[in-house]
Amino acid sequence: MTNALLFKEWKKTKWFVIGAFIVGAALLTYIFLRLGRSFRMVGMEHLWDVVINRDQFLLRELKYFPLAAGIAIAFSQFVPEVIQKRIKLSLHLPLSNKRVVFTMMGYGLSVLSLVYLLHILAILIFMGVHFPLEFIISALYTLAPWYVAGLMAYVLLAWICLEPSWKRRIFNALIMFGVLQLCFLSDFPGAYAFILFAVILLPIYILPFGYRSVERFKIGIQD
Amino acid sequence: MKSINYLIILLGTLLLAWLLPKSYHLITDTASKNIFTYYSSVDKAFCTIEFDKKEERLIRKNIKTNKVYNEHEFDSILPLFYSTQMFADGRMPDSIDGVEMKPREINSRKFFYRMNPMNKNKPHIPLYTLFESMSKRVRIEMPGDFFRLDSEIEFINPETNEVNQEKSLRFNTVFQKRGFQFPARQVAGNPSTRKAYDEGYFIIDNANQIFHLKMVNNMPFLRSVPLPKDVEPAYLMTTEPDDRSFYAFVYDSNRKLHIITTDQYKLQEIPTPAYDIDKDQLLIMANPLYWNINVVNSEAKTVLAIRSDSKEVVDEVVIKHDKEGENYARFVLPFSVGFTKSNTKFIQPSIFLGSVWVLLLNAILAGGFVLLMKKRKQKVQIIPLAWICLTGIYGFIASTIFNR
Repeated sequence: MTNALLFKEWKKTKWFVIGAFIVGAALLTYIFLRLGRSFRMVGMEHLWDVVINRDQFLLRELKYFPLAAGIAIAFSQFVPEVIQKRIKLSLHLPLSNKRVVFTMMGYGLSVLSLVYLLHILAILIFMGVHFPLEFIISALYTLAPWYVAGLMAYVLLAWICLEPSWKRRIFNALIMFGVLQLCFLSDFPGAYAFILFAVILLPIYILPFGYRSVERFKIGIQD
Repeated sequence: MKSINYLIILLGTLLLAWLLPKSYHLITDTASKNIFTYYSSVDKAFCTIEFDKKEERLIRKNIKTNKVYNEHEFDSILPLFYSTQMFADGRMPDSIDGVEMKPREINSRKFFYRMNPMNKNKPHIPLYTLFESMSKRVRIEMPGDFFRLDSEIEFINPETNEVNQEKSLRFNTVFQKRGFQFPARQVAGNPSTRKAYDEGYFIIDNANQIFHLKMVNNMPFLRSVPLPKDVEPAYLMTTEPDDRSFYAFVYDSNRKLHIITTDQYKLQEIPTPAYDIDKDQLLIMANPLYWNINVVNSEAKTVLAIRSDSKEVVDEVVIKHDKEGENYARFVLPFSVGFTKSNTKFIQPSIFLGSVWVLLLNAILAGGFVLLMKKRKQKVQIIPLAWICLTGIYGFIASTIFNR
């Protein structure tokens, strides 16, 4: 039954997942080509100098990609459930509500994490070839909050979609707005170094919120 | 169910504690007045330039005599600050206090040095550029490598991303010979090619010794800086004054400021007002006769005038910041949460408490919450009630919305 549920989620989201992967790959290709051009035009020494001594971040264009990917996948997965009330069918499966909700969200988070991991892997390989370990650590500190924002956007959008009351959806959206801001407080490379661990834990903290909305739906709350 | 609700209320409360005060400050914040203050070598008193809102013009005056000057007169009162104008007008006296006024001499001993806590409290990639200090060229040129100081010094070639073993070995031998204790606690330098000369880096090693590192004719130069017993360096800031009289500022663990002079690396203490390098701003405006040491903190700007040669204090002035209007928010908002601060580039959570009187409002809000629960025919729960007593309006809003 769980496999059937997972297959249903894949059918709904596959083009968005493939799209997010392709857009991410295209964006990385563009960034790598642009950096490659800079290597040839100004030389590696100059590039290292602007990163080390002028605090420039070479992968700034990636900032909103994880967020957009998270929103797109959550949108493709949960909006049809709401519009066509398909969630009713899913909740009538011979599985506990908790299992249904967390399987759906687990699927979404897994495919999103897979897209992100492939993305980060490509970045690590590129940076490992051209830059020392210190650059890579700084880049990961800078990129991590943006990718966490993508995961949180997915979880919070799912929470909003699963919520049966429109009034509460507005408040949930305000929470989403506030929480996502936490990941975009500074572009300065490595600015999140002291609180990165706490930021990484945030998606786990907000993960059960969607289940709360489903429970509200089950007890008959609606506008 | 309930526990998830509480997680949502907790998050909502914290977000409100962050965003409500932030919105309040967005609406009410005003810039604090910045009064330029400089010690006059002619009047022997501090002079200021301040914008007068009533007259809508700059007021230039001697703050001891309160005498107001026009712009032309003010040049003559601060001849060393406006030396270029004074020489251009032919108004510069031949000498002041027995010191001959020569353009070159004045320019070489005039400098401005600003230390903002944000310069210290920011993330950085621990790689450094070591220039050739005895280059035959007029301009400083990039050396073609960067170094790191972990368990040893390593030079990395950016073109190949590989360690230059031969150069690293050459430098490591000297580091070991001089008793340098790895890893370095701080590496201070000015890695810019846009400076008149290069003196490399001043480094605090793991045993709190200060070393001067530079590259001379492609060979390592590493020298230990003799420190007085009571000086434990906490932070170094380098600068390149034109007269090459000193190398760097040393801020010690007793919050005292020193310079490392070019005379055998001797340390000379610089009198400063009480100064916290992590919070306050330091500005030094120096001329051949006096150094103006400005320290700006949240309460006031304090300026010391000290003699350039002996560093003896000759005058001091404290200019208190204008008292801001009453912050009424602290009677409504029990606390506020912040993530960014003006003294650091790091994102760090901080909490600011409001007035004790806000507890009264919290109790009223808790009472209001009980009435609201009764109106909604909901059971009054202890946890949200206690939460409102603690977090006031934030907890009240979050509990009212999400505790249904």
